[in-house]
Amino acid sequence: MLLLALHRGEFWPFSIYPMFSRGGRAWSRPLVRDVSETVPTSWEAGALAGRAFPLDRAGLDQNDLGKLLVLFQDRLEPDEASLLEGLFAGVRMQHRLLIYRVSGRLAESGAEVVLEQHPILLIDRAGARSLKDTLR
Amino acid sequence: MTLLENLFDADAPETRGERVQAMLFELISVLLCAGYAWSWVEPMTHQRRVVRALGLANYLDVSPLFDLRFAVGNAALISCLVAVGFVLRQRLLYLGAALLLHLQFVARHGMGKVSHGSHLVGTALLALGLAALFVQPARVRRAALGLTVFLAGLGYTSAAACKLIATGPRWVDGHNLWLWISEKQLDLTAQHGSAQLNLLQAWLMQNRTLATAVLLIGLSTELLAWLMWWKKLRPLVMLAVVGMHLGIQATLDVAFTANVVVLCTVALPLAAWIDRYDLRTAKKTKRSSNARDQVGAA
Repeated sequence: MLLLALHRGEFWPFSIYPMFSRGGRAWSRPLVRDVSETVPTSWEAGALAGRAFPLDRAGLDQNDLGKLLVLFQDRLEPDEASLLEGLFAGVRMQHRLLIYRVSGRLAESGAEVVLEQHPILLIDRAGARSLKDTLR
Repeated sequence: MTLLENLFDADAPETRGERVQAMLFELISVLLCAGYAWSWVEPMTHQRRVVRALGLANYLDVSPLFDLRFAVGNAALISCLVAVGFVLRQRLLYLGAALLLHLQFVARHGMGKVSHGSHLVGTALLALGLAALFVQPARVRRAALGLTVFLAGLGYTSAAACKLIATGPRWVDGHNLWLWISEKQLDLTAQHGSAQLNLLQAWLMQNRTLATAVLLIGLSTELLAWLMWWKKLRPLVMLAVVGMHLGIQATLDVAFTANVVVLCTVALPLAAWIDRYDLRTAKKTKRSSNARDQVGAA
């Protein structure tokens, strides 16, 4: 109990098991697309550019990337860029990857879940950078 | 029967069935722990630094474990400790294995996302080690089983409490399940390149009442999980929890395979089945021996 109290509810193998505890809130998750063959002029919200890039191909876990995305703000700090470059080290030399932030929320009518996607990060042989920096 | 007797049953003689079931519980726990240690090696090597420190990573630099050689070395050491602990019954070694597995866990999950699949087997390993430290050798497995059941019941019930504290009774609203299902679909698409709703998920996404009923059953199961502390209710409650895990897998594609395996090992009345078989075999042997004696006497 003391270990859990002092470590935000997590001290393996002890946990307060908080998963799925917050219901009804909108979510945000990353989605990686391969835009190696796409002309980089239309990184817009809405339609997804390029082709699907399964994280399996890079040996990465969506949950790891998802947590990073929560931390990421508009600008990519050098250590964050280095972290992403390390994660995609095995594939970024051959692919240009665009990371979208996909958000899901309940429609106002309450009849369905609405998804929106916004491109936020670009990773390729030149490194990882935020799209805002790319388009400046 | 007090709660302590229900959990540890310390004075009752151990039957052969109980010994076999407890040995199976121990074997499965150590195998799963070694399996987790190896499965975390590859993802650990993708990491360069700890983003969110968990457990001992708050006090120790675990970044050397991001090096493949150290990650493999740690997994190998954990495997050796649990193997020697199991084969030679040197269960104090499990405490060392649990400590090393903790370091492997916090290094693997240093990106911030916590996976809870390994917690129950980790608890079992720790319980076996602690029991070896504090209990007579003959009673170690039973004490470890009791402690694992206690912590499992507490863990599931605390999960329900977290839901009620964070969201309140509206947690069971079917809309919440819609949001989680859509989130998991996006995760599967990102992970594998494509995803499709299964029949149950498609049905739930069309029917809010059904989705609410599913969440209500899940929450009630978790909330009542502490009832597994009582021996008579244990099989029923544990199998209900197993059913909940299978339901979570069907609706949210989240598999808790290790939990299901450990819970089934503890919940199924294997000991009773083995003891009944032994009793029947002993009766048969006695009958045939009596018959031989009678023939001999004649």
